[in-house]
Amino acid sequence: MLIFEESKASRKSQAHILQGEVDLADISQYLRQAALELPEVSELQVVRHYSCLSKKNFAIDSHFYPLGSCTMKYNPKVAHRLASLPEFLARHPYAPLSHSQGFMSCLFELQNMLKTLTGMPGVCLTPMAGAQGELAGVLMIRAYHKMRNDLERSEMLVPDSAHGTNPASAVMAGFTIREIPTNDEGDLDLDALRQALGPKTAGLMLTNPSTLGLFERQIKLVSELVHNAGGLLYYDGANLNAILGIVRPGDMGFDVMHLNLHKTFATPHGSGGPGSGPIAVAESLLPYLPLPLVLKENNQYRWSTLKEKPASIGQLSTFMGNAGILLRAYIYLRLLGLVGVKRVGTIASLNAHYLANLCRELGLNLAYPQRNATHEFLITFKAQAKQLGVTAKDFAKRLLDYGIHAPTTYFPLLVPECWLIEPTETESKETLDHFIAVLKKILQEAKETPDLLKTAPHTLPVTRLDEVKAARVIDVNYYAWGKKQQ
Amino acid sequence: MNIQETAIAVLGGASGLGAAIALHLASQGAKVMVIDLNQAAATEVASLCQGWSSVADVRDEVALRQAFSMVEQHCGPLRVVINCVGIIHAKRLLGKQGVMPLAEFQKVIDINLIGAFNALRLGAEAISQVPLKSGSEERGVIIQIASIAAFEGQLGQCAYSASKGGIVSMILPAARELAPLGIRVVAIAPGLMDTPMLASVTPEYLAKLKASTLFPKRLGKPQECAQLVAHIIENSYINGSVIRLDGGMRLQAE
Repeated sequence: MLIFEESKASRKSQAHILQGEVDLADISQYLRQAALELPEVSELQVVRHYSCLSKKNFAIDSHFYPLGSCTMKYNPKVAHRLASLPEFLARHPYAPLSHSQGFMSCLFELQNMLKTLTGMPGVCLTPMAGAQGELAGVLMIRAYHKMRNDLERSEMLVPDSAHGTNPASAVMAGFTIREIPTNDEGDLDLDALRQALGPKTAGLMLTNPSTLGLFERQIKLVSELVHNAGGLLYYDGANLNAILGIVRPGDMGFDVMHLNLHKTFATPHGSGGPGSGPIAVAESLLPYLPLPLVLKENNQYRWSTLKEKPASIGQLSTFMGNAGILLRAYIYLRLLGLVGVKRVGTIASLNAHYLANLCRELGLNLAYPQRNATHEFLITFKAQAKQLGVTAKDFAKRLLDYGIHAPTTYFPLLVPECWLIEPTETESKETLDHFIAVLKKILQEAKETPDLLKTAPHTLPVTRLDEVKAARVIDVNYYAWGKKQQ
Repeated sequence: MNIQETAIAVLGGASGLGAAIALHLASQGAKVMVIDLNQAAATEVASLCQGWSSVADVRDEVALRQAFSMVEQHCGPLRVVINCVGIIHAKRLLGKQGVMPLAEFQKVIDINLIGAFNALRLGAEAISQVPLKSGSEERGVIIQIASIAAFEGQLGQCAYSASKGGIVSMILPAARELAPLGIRVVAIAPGLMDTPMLASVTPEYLAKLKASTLFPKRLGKPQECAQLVAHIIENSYINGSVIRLDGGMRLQAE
């Protein structure tokens, strides 16, 4: 239901028209002649319309949201509140630096905190999203090889369990992709890696823990192999929540990584909202970091310039990225401290581990039963699909009826009929137990009344959308909608 | 060759002679890239030059190549490379403390001589890519800062003199090799210049040194060295030689 559909000609609310404050006579020549095509509704209709719409949202604020690989965790409101202080909000990007020293000091300290967390000596905060951070990182790898006159390195190795953005970023930076398979235990296939490595190898992009919810156990060896072949190691920080304060990508041998501040560091994730994907680099890539960085000289903060960092891959965003998201991350880290950060990683893993074990007890099949869960884990409904004809999708849709967001389904592609479940550290034991109770009920239903699952969801405004079309052919235009109605 | 609008790389340009040269050439309209290990100082000099800065160790092939390609990218074709990188070292080869550790000699040779050669070869590589201007056969010039210690090294200057002597000796063969490419190679052998390098010298000894200068009886000014550099760039007939800049001084044994 669009608000335009409620429109009745000449219905309006008078409450907000300023009387006597604007002298209309003065501007009469500028007034619009043709009518604006706005909905004509009463104030109550407006309030009611948007209140109803807001209830259609499925959000972390209202529901359990164990969407694997997405880290849908609760983000403390205090970070939002402090980042929204008028002194931050009213700061103009062109304000003189002498007026922005407080803001700059926050960013400078955030750079240092992220250096500590990642174990890498250089951090640039400007990328506006994870994918942009990835692109920046891959461009830096390209610049690194180019500066060495190593122009043959055109191949980027990507495991078959990687996030789809990895190959996409590498292709955008001009690399060709070579896929590396995963072995039966969920680790990278080292023999395949050895075969793929060579004088053409630019680097390897890896997520650790991988999208399979497993920690790559041979990471030291992998990094040695890639470095010996002259390549660099890219770390996809999407799953950083699992290892926060426990292990550091820099220590594993990675050369460059991005962090998703809008997942792990106090900004809600999803819906294309403002994100932030800072990148961290090892010594070898420092000259290529994007601009600007925040520098501190004689107790004053300032931006770095291209003239002093001439090898930089350049500027990725206007000004310095999404400042508000950076502030939230800064506040979050100040709230937690290193000890608190470690608790995040530990409890995220503990919750996932607990849930994985309960799933096992329910009789569900873990995709990698011999391995420990990290912050997320994979289960497969292959058996149920075969025996009962009920697929992972049917289970997921039925879960919605019980007020729980579905886990990530059918990803990664390696495991058939899978769910990727990430409970995050902010959920209580009671919520996790409730999730299991619901699953138990649905398993029962699958045996007794499988049609209930196949036709689910039954309680939501929309049921089974064409998911690909819904994401790719977005139609939010009133005029387009209006034409379609005619 | 004109200095105006010419892209110039000054290695070791963050302090001393290098900084003076960078500033002087910038004031003549050159586009200057200050290359130094000390990033903060390089940035400061570069901002005074309204130029660029880049961090590189003169011995590091990758970093130096990168810095030169940055010149190309931001300032235009690189035509002039000036190497002012150098460290001072004073120790007798057989002194009261015993023999000089070999590592010290090696370090001085490494930075002063091997660094200079690295700048020479990579500078030549970069300048050789520059297209010739119509009506000119000159691509560019590489200028090395040697020292009069190359000719009359004092007591305790074995390492320093050998390193600077090595630079002096490579100028002619390098100029011969690069002549077909239109690249000149020149060195300046300064006497005692008023730079941070002399910081370790005692006032008494300094007075003695000044007295041994013919005329004028003072230290050389970095600006005077910068003027000579500017002249070498502009005067295309200077090639393959080492020019002393020392007020007529000849270093004594001690």
